[in-house]
Amino acid sequence: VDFSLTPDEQLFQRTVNEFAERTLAPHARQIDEKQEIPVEILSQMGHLGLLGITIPKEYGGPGGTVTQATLAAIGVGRGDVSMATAVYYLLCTGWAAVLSKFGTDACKREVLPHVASGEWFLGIATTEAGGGSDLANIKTTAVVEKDHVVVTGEKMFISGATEAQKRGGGHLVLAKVDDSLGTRGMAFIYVPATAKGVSVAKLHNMGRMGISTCTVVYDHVRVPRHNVLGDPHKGFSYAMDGFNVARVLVSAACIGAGERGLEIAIDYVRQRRAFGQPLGKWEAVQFELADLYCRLDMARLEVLKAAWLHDQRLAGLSVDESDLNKTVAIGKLWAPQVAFDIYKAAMTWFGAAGYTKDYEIEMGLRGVLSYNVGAEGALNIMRIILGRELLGKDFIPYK
Amino acid sequence: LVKILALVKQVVDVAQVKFDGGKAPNFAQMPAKMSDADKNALEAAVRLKEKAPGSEVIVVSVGGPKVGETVNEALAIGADKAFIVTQPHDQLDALATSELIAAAIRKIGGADIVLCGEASTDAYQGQIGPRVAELLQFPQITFAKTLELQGNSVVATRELGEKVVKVKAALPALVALVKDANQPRLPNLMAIMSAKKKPQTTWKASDLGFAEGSLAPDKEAVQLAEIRPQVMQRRTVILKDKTPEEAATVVADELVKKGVLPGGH
Repeated sequence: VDFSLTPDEQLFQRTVNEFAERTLAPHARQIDEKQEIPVEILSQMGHLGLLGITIPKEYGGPGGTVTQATLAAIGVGRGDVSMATAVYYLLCTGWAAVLSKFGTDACKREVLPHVASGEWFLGIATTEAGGGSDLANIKTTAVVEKDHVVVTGEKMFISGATEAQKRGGGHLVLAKVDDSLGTRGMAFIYVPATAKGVSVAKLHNMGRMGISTCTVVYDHVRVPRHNVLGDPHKGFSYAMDGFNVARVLVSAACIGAGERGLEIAIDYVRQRRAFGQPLGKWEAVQFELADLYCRLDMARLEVLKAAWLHDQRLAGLSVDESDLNKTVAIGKLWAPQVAFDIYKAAMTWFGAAGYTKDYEIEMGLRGVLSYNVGAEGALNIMRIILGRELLGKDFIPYK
Repeated sequence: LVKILALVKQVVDVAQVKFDGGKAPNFAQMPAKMSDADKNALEAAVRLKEKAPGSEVIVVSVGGPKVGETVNEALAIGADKAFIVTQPHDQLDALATSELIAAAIRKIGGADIVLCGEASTDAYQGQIGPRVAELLQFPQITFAKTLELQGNSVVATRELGEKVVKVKAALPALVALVKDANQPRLPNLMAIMSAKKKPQTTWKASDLGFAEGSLAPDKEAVQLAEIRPQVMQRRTVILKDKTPEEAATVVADELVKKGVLPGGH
């Protein structure tokens, strides 16, 4: 067992952390308040190779690894604890990985270089009003014609739709091509946010304010046939494959935000004195801090192991798929919860000051809560995955 | 076309240094990094190259077993090739280091301009630049904040406390830059991953003509007495039962008495 990062990974990690500290962190409050990530920050992220780390070189990306993408997600989560930049980052990176893997050459050439440069946004549109986790029952349809595909339906809670309309880019949309085949009759299609027939309405979130969450209506939207990823009947499995990578990045972003929260808290409980001694000397504080650190560090190990397993698989090495699925699920189940608990504890230790907007704590609390609610699979979906891997498919509690 | 040399040193990350029982610094196991001002020098070197396309930036570094990591970073930031001189022992003083660097520069075939940081982040002696310039018989400009090539000369502004002085030196020259000379760029992922493919040459002291033992610390030339943390003495005085005006007067009087403020107020 070797837990060390390669020298390249160490240098990349230092670079991302320096970017996070020097550029991102000073803008975090502004991103939260103005509800927008400055274009200069996204351009710089593109320049550093952060947006679409795994995009191959021939499509304008650095051709990096999932481990590098994970280290970047941790750094971005540290820099902007509101999680807005992390969401932007991980959607572009995670779904560019899926487009790179399954997309047609024409679609990849059209989209990926713009995502890698930080110019365009790339996300997914799978969730519908009926529920995000119950993807098998989506209503959106796609009619595949000779040269085109026509997408019709309504997606809900879609991240980055106004950004994609404004800046360029779009979403990978999950749609049914054959209702009778269930999940085996779904296509994954790249639909530009500016295509004719796409309309967007912004929802009002309580956190991660710097990236929009929207309802997106696709009204008979015609896109070229080459925008369909791979086999038009395998879209569901492509989406699941993407979720397995995106979940690692989500977990990593929560680890980063959690690390930052713990640093803020440690700094405070060392200095703040109450009843004659620093807060950190009181066992009630110190023991909770110790527990939170343990949970965060264990989650970090799981997340890095998941990234490593992905890279092993991408390198063509044999990987125990069940181990990969479980490891990804553990990370996504634990990291958002421990990050939330860290901010909750920090707020308690800070007292009234922590409840003000003078500190990052309330921003981090609102941000990491979004990943306790949903996104890339709710926490209970992670438990179902673990149950499935431990007990067998016959024990999946739904059909 | 300009041949630009950047001298970079790998140092321990002083922000993460721990002290043994609050006494001597414990450098073992400390993360290493590129010395801050050397990074500014490298940035200046890459900017010179960008202004004169076709020019090359060559990195020279004397260091221990892990110096390759810092050299890779320099190559990722924009240097074209690197020469590493492995230090023959870890007691290398500034004089011996300068001799190794000067010999390496001669072996490379000289340079149009040599850039380095004004001093390293760890020991902060500020000797390497001036010593290397002297050994190579180059004119030197220290404490440079800006620099620009003009024909066969370099023009630099020197930060000298309250004064800024503009000076000109004929090439080849050595310029030592201050830490706030520029904002060093961050290397991008593609550059990090391809840095290792750039040419790197490693020399031992003997490859540069130094016999074993000839670089032993010269006690006559350089003496390192001790490294210890500077303990800041603090005195807390709490002024009770005074109006803000009275308290301000007491504080001002005290500061005058200590010589912090000029007398009379």
